[in-house]
Amino acid sequence: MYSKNNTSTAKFYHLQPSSYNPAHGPIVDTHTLVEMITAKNEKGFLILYERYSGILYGVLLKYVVRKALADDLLQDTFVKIWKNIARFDPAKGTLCTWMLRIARNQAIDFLRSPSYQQQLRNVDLDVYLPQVDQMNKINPNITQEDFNDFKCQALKHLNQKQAEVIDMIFFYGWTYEQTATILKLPLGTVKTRARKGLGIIKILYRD
Amino acid sequence: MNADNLIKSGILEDFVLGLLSSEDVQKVEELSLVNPEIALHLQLLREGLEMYAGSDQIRHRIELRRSIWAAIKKME
Repeated sequence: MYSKNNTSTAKFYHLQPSSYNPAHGPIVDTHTLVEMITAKNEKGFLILYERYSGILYGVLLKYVVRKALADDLLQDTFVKIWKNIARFDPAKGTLCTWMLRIARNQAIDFLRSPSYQQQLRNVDLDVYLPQVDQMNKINPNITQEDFNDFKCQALKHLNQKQAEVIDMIFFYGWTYEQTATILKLPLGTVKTRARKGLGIIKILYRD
Repeated sequence: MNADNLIKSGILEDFVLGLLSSEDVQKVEELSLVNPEIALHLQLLREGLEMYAGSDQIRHRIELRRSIWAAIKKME
């Protein structure tokens, strides 16, 4: 599915792009980044990884829960992005949306695969459950407590309706329109919930 | 639209959620290059969302990044 055009955002500024921002170091826009990946440029990969690995990994974790599986799927996702970059069509959606769709499809294909279904039947619960419990211990720099604190804080400040809309859009890839249809809500309500919810997450993260 | 209005408009939230058109994505990117305040808001939104998803530290996992790059080179 492709992202929609947001008519309310059209033509709101006219500024020239710059290749270097003194405050934030070298910045590469999406068009240039796609060109770098097409040219199989390693720096392009590094920028792509730095910019999108967190978002892609978050979606993969939501589907497969276990960190080791998400690691493998993140690798498969980047390989697929690299291999198929020529198929990316900016007229049909953004790079981020296209990559998120690849990640979701990788995860769904994996969960449906006979080998995974077999693993599920064979796995010992004593082995599986602790892995689930540790799902967010991505590295020693972030503890389960840190994550729980943030997630708990976020869920305490977000109301359930805002969290629901953010999850549907971010994790499962629905557009505003699709989310509004599914939830039987006015489009404006869905937009407001998503934007306010994300604003709350931003403030919590900043503070 | 100035930076304040843009930040209040919800467009940056739509950008991070991947819900803007390619044309508008390009405009936001261009603005973030020349306006540190917009760049900062985008960074906070993106990293906050990553934290919400429990995946914010993945960027710093050098060994995984290297293994993914090795897989890409192998595929080529």
